[in-house]
Amino acid sequence: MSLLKVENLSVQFDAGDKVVNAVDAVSLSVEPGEIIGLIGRSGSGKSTLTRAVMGLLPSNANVMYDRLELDGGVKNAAMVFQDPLTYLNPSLKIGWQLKETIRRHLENKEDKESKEGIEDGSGENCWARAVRKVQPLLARWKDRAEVDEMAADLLETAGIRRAADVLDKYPFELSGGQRQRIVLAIALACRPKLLIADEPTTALDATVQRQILTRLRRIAKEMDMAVLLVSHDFGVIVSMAERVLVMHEGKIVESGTPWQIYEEPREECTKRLVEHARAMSAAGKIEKGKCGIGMSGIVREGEVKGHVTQKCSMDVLRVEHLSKVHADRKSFGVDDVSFAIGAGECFGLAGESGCGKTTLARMICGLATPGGGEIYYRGERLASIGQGRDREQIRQIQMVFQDPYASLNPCHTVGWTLAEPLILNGETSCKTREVLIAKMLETVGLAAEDAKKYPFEFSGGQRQRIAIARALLSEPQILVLDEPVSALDTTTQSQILELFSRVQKERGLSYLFISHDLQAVRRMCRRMGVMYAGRIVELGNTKDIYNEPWHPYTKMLLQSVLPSNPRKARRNRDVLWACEEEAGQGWTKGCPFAGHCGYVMECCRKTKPPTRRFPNREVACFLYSEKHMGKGNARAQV
Amino acid sequence: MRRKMFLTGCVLLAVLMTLAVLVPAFSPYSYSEQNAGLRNLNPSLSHWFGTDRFGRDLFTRVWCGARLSLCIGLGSAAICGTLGMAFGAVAGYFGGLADCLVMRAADVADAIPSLLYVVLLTLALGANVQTMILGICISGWSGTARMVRGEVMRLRTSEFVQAARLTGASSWRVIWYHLLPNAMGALIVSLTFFVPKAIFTETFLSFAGVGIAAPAASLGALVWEGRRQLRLYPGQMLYPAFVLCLLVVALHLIGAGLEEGDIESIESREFERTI
Amino acid sequence: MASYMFKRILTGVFSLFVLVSAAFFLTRLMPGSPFEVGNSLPSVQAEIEREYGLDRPLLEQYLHYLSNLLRGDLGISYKKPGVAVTDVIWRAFPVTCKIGSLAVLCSLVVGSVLGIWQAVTKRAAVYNGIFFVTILGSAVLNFVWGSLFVWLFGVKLKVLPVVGTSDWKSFLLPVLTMAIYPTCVVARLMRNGFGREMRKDYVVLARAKGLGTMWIVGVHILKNACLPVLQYMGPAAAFLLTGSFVVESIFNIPGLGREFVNSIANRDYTLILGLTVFMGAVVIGLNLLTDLLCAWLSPTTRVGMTGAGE
Repeated sequence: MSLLKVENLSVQFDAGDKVVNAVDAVSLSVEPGEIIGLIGRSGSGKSTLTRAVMGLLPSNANVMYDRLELDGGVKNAAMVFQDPLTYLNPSLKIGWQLKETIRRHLENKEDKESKEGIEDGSGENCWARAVRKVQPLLARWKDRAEVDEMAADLLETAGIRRAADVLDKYPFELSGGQRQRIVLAIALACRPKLLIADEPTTALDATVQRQILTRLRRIAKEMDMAVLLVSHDFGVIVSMAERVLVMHEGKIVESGTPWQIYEEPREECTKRLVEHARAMSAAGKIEKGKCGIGMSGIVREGEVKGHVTQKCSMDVLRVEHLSKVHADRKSFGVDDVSFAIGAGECFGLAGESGCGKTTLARMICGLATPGGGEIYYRGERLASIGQGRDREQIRQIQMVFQDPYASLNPCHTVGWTLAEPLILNGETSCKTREVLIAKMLETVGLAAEDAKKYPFEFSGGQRQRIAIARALLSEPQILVLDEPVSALDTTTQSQILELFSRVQKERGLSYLFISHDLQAVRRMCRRMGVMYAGRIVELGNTKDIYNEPWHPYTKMLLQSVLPSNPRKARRNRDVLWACEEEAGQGWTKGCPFAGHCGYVMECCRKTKPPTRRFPNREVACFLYSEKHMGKGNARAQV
Repeated sequence: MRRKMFLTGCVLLAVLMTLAVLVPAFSPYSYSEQNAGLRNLNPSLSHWFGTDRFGRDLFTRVWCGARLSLCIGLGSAAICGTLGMAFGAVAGYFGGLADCLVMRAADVADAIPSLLYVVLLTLALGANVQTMILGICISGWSGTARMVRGEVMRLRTSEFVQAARLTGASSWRVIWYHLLPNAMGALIVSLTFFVPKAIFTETFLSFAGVGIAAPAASLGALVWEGRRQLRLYPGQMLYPAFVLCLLVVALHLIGAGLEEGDIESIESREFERTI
Repeated sequence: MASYMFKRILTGVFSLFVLVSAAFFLTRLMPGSPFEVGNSLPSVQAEIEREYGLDRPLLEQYLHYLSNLLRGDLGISYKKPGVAVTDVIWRAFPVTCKIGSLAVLCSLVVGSVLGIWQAVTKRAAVYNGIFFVTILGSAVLNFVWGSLFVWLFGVKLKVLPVVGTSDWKSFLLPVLTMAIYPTCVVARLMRNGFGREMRKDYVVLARAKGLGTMWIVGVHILKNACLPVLQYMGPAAAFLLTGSFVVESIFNIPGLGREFVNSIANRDYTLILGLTVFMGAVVIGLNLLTDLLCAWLSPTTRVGMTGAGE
């Protein structure tokens, strides 16, 4: 018998004057213990479908169905959501939120048991009834230890080993990965037979995504739980699911095994989805065999004078020993970062969230004041905007922000927003401005009439185009792209990346491309740096780094990329992850990565590894110091 | 629903304002002319609200009072709105010392009883509308400033403000073109609630004996005056009280309509995003 | 948190000092002397003024006042010979405080219940009903309510006493009169807060967890929605506790508000000053308390005050 059976489910939204069909006559079934993937672009009605199943839609939604059966009712299902921060109550402690769920489900069980009990002995007097009512309250006090233990157990199942540290904290104090584990633990506290995971890893870093998915798979197996996994990312679906459903404009258009969908997509929209997934992963192909500590071709440090960053005087932007302490004064936001970008070059910077990428970007643009170090633009030193960077210098380095919903002022029309840089850079004629704006809008792929509209009338991708147009209207030499596509759909992502490439070719711009998505970096950049805990741990040509990562962190990062080819995914699936626990990137004396590193040595915990420069590569790791290189060579000889 | 509330409020306010302008202008009676023969009359065709204990036509007096109350309420709201916007924006945007100074000044302005300085002001400037407005504004700006400060602090770190700074805009330009327009919605809502508060404050001042000099009387003062004869002639209190109530209800409806409208538009935006 | 508290208290004390200075010079600016009674001789008047130290330089008087204030001595009333200002305050404050705190409690409880009920109800009749009750409540001047209550309960029905402070019954009407306006504001703020919070994602998760509606409303949403109410209630409570002249004169209660208005009418400098300082201290103190409470309630500020320097 199926665990979940849905037939002809439709959901309509009543949005004032218009009615929107979000889900249109969908039928599906989930068998016990099965992992099903539901894939579709954002806006295809995936989330609405899952919420309709759980009965969580707002009151303006109109749900109709022929059949909606969940074995054992909604109590047997639980849900994990996309953005764990907004789904946890900001003003209650984690422990509270987890334990109330446990208690709630204990009570449910007790209720059921006691009801069965009454049927046995029906001759119950009022005294006994009163006792029975008070009992759970007393039991609640007695149960405290038991509940605590269960909470710790659940957290461990979800991958948090030191439960005591986490239970006493508020959601905002935790990292994204930890929060998602908490939400997972809360879902597991409901003892579900069906777990609906709605984009559970979209907001997370690649490494954490990999960990959580592995965790989820293991739990599903151990607890014999069915999982309905919803995602827009082909890689995620393929790495998890046994059966895939494709959703498009509120309908399920196709279903099959991952292999079928990947190799023989029937519908147009599926074809497009697979195509984009292939395009992305073709760029991000990893050659597995070379992930050991390869020492071949390394020239000893010091033998070569000129290193990667000091290529020539042609550098447009040079950053030297830039650092800034975190707002909480506990750790480095950015710690002694140096690199250079040549004219017309796209330099990539990869790293997980919280590693200081955004702080670095803001310092380069002048929005934040560096704590130490210098920024040079064509040889002249730049101050921050607050400390007197002049308008001409500001104009040269522009930025595209991450969140297209927050980076446009909702009060002004697009035309107004785009006119601002022109006005401030001395373009006084209104006519000329209009012409320039119209031309720019066409360049970024929008229509000239869009200038009269307000930002809320545009989709995320279109807004990002507007933001790019605004940056370009200042006619900069350097564009800092801070996660410019990570808030967008896969399809939109590749369109925006194409736009970047085209603009670069036409205008000869230099890019600093910052992303946590390695595939995007690989696609865009010839040279890249990998950031971890405020430092650039590895820097070199993108191709070299992909083919032969040196730093252990880079290796971990590359392994966490999810391939979209189902065959590879199957092979990749059960690779165990050694270092799952996330340690805080606090103020350590030694290498910040030491806690996760498989090659950790004694010296790693004592001092920070200095950056060693080799031709075409820089790396901050003791493995590549003279002492250990000697060992490595010796090993190679054996 | 919200839109209806807002429109009802606007229409009501417009009607009241028109009456407050037209009635005193076209009334055959004067608000100050006493007539010993016509004391405490009940409402009739010639005196719609009757007359007070000095024989003055209450209908004329009520609308004159409404005019004064509206002047005081709207005038002080305009001034306090401007002051609060300026101080709040500076405090919220620049932070640090400016913030501390403005906020502590607001605390002190809140803590000094208004009666104390209004007494002095009436002695120095005379007991007229301008003095009342000035007196209300001395402490009235603090609430608006706190609100604008909060909004500005929330928006200050948002990406569109950073983007604006990257176009080369100065701090003042950022405040004026980017922060204040976004804070405006909340500001207008808070001002619609400020107007009734200002009218009430003026009423309190006239109870305490430092209000606008007789024979002119605001609505609040009329109600207070009518209270003396509540048991004999309840109309003398209830008519002005009713008009005052209508006035405040109109403003509250506008405020509530705007407030709710804000929430609704946010909701529909969220809707677009998730679906 | 500790450093934030310390800073906030320090600035609070500073505000109080500014307040005392401002009040001192403002009262001295007032024309007329408290001793201008009838047609007393100028020489006699000067004699009395010397007695009270009013002939000395203003700055000296100011410093003298400050040093006395530090010792808790607010001086002696000019108009009521031999009565210390502190005595006046201690006689009037308990009455005012009793009425004020009851009004605060009443408005918080009733207002919250109304606001929450309005926010969670699905019936349009309830929503609109509460909506119009709250608008009407806040649109009518409190002394109109007061006068109507006196007329209805005291004169027509004769069920409640309308003057004095003899027993608990006599507190009912003043408390009711004072509480109406803040109750309506609290209800509005609560409704808006709930309306905003109920759309948040964490409510969806709470529902997905299988929690009951009462639990979600009472624990999850309330804690997030009550901040604006607290922010309003702090200063409002200060004004309720320092007494309302209007309510006190309608119900003939010997409270602080009436004392203050009378002292201004009498030009009783020391009493004006003393009352101003006392009431100002209550206002500043409650503002401070509200700030600290809000900081404590929102975990972002409670844990480490991060982002404050950003």
